Amino acid sequence: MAQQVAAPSEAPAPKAGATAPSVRLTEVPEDLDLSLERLSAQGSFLGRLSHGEETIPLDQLHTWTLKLEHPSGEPLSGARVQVDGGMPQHSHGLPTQPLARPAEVPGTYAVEGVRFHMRGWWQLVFVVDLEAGTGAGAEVLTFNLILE
Amino acid sequence: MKRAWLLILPAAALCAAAFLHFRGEGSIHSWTPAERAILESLSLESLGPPPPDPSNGVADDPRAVDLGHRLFFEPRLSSNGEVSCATCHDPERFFTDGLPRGKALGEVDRNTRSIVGAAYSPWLFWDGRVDSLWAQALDPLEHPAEHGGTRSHYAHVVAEHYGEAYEELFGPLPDLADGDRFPRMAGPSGTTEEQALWRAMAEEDRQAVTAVFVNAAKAIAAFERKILPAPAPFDAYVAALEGEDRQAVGKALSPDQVAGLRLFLGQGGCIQCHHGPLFSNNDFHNVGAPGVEGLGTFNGRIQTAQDVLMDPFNCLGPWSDAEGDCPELRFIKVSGEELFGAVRTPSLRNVADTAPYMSFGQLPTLGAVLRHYDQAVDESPVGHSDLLPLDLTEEQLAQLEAFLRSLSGGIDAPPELLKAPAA
Repeated sequence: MAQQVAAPSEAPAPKAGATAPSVRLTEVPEDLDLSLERLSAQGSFLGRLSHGEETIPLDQLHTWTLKLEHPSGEPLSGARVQVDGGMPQHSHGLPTQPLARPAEVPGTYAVEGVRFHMRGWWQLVFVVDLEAGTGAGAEVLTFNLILE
Repeated sequence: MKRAWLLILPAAALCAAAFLHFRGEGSIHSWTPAERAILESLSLESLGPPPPDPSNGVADDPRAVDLGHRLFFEPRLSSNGEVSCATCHDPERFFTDGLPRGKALGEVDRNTRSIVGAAYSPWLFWDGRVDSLWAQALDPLEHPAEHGGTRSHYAHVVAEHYGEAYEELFGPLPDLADGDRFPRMAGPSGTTEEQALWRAMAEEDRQAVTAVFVNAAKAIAAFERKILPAPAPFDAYVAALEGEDRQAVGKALSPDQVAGLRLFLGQGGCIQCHHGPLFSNNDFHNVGAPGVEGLGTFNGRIQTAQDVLMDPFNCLGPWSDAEGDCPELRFIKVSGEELFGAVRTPSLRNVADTAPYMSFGQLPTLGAVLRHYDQAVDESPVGHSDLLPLDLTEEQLAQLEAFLRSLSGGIDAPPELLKAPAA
């Protein structure tokens, strides 16, 4: 995972419109978990991310599929899923704002509007609100991708 | 499970198995299969036709190309009859002007970007404030320092000089003969008088004038879609590698250029943003370039991501032919620290011939640009630079520059489109 490091003392003062920068990691952690099947941060549900192809397009909008399950194996339907992410080594987020919408199969969500505009280590982060609209049950699910 | 994803580049079905290993371990021309795949992805061979533009119903109509060609070189499309698109986008200079900032009626506050290959970008201008070639063409026509005219004036010029070609493409022109209904000079962003005359017009007359204005720009866009980069020595090098033509490999690039290419892919990190056959990801980055006194604050993408959503000439607007088919706007990113001061990555095709560089033309030579990237001093007046120091030697910087010079191949377009049409 990306670790946030405080700005060095000699760093220039932050400029208008932005917060202080964090020092960037230069290496991908050796034990980085690249699994596309992950438990949510609090372990309340399981997420499976798939793309359907062995390769993914650079610089092009494309779609992923996110499948969410309760620990019992029951599909987790009706959640509100927000999409975030970015490149931990470059201190920037995704270049687009993807949207996740429920797909036909219960518990699956089409994640549309994803674009990767650089090679390297990306994270796709899903904020899953189990009780849609209330924010009470929001939990984070993070996937790591290495594009080369 | 450890898994890395292979990337497939637009319009380039890469097949690693197709890459034959160049014989000769230790040769400067020895590349790994992964490197070979990247080299292939950078070649013009991987560039398909420009992506469709659903917002422009005449984008690929040859009649629109012809009309757009004539309009592109038409100086009557200006307030003083002397400024055409070609004034700043000079075909002799790869559709740029060789100046730090464009000069037409006045000096504008941005470096003139080339239109070579512009049809491949979802966003136009340095800050991406429009989402189509035709919306881009509209902006300078009404800018007081560029063409300086009004959309009413342009409708009159089109009706008087291009009526037949226009009507063949777009249907009947409005009858502009009534000078009270259609003043010669009226528009929403002209002088105070021109704006007052515009406001005094009936709404349907304003719409009729704007339709002609927009259609003229759509024809210009159709012309611009034909202006593509031609193969350069770098492309010959990749083709020779693929063909295992040892002699051609050695001839295509000098040893310094090959070393520069290796740096481009490796230590230089240039490939991170300058990739694909046009050497651009067409996305937005703050590269820490200094501001220029007197030009005001340039907020970059953080400003224009909002602007483009509000633009009546965007893909979702009433003048678009897209009927809602606008994924770039649907998934546009409008917030994020990295958008402050971020500008769109330029193509590096013909880059050695399009100095000066950066959004204000503030860096005069390729050497100065490479030194800026090497040192990565954050001089951006807004936001923070994405760059990290590269620690390259003088020799390496010279090699990178030599490689960049191998991307000059000229323009691939019908020759008649590269000069003003016969009167």
